[in-house]
Amino acid sequence: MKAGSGYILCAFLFLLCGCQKELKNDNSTGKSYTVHIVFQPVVQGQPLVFNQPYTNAFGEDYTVTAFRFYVSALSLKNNNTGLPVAGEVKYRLADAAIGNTLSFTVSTDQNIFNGLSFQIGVDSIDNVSGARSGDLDPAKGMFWTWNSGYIMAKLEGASSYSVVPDGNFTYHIGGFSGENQTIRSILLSTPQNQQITLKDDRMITILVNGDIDKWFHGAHALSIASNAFVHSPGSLAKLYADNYAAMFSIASITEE
Amino acid sequence: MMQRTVISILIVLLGGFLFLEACKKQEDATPALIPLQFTVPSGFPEPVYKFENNPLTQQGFALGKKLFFDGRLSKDGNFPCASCHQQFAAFATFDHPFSHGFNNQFTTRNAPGLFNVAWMKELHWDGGINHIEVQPLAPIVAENEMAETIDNVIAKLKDDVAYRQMFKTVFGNEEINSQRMLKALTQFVAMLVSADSKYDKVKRGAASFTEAEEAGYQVFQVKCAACHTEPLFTDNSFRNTGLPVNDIVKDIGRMRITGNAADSLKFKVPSLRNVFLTFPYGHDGRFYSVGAVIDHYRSAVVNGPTTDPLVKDKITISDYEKQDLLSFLRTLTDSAFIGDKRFAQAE
Repeated sequence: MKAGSGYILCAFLFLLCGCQKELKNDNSTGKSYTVHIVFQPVVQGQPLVFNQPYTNAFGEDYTVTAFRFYVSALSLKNNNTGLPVAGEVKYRLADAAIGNTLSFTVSTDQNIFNGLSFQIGVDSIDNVSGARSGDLDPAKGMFWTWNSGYIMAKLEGASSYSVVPDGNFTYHIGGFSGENQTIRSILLSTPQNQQITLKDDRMITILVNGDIDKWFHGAHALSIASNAFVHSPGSLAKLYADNYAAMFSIASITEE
Repeated sequence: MMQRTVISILIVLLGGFLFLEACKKQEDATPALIPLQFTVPSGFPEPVYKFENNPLTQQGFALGKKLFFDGRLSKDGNFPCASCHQQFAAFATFDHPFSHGFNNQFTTRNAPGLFNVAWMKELHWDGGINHIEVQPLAPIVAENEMAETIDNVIAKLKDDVAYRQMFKTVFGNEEINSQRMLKALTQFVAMLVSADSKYDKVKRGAASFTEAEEAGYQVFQVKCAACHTEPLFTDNSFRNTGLPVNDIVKDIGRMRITGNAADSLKFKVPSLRNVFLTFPYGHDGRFYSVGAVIDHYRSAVVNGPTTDPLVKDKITISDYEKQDLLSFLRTLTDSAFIGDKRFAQAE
């Protein structure tokens, strides 16, 4: 009797698997692949070092003391089929000061991709849903308390060009509703748009560079002298959001 | 004989051990949560706050109440929520245009009364807070209010064995984080329902207005109710009521939040419930009497680009009507609410 019900259960599970496979797209291999995605903040191609002097495109000196951003909806893309090939990651706070917050692991059952997409920021619904925990805990310092809403990304540092008395610059970029929204979707192509084939016995690591200089000179030219701080949603915050949307690129894809 | 004695001793020891174990178990066991009912007063709409995401319990409410009255939520211990939100003033600050905060500082806006908050979609005079649960973060971290950091508050709560026990009871384990603190505070604040004034009794057929009150109610319905809509006595909108700008504070109101010039000098319409307890009035507490507010609408409205159409031509209210109106507004005082022991600081 017991064995009988076991067989029935097995049969049922097979049936379920069969159903699921039919619903999915044909590219599924039936195997599971794990991909590492590592964000690496850089300045002029070199890994960011806090408090080290740099010069931006305006010739302004600057140092960086903090760089943090919310990542979500991380997925590999096959741009030929347009289909996502890997699961999502829900809201992780990436902090340049805490190395392990910059790496992500996604699993996929499909083995061909040539793109990577993700979102910087926190969706509007999650800005209006009350007290949250984990990486969305307001104690993380990424939540405005006087004007409810998450800071999607922040860059802080110092520059002799800052007009603020303490010589700092603080860009706290947020805004989730209507035309002030600063959530940005990013789609990166593999180098030379090459198609990457995953193998189930090899681990692939995608290194994504985030170029800090682009905050000043990305989609828009924003010198430190003209703006030393942004602390609220609005038209200026949107310009910085466009700039951080342009800071990312795939630096390398390595196989181990 | 000897054997018997040994067995007896063993039995006694075993019994004692079991007894001790039983006691220990009782100590460890988390008391069962007792559900708490949120009752929507008759005639009120459904609340905005979704209680299903924060099930009300007696223990959750008690934890929220303890937090509300606890000075440790502020930097120097002197400024609990209750320092600016006093029950005898319907949880506004009694007799203060601005409230006192950390290091001899003043707030820049008048503390509103706390009641019927569960029906508010946006909080603060400028509506900057979009959810009741996250509101306490604003005063906790404001330099001129409680001046503390979220991390410090959580650390202080974690250091207190009584809090650890209460959080464990309410949330299932001892973890204390901002989300749990805020949900507990919300249980207390959302339960602050004021709906038992004379006006409410009249509406329920349990009392009747005097002639003056009834006349005042007629005036109210024609000349005030468009913004101070029953039964909450506010439509929760943002309006410029023609107050000249205070040159020191230079408060632009809702525009600070939206960045939209059309929202310049607009402030949230306050509820008129308990209005005789919450003086002074206006976002900066500039009016010391209800009569002074009525006089503003009668004769002192300043017109600018965003002044509300309903007040820009001033409101015609005769001296007789004003007296009747004052009589009616007195019926909005909810003595049962300000005397409710459930909301009072534990002695």
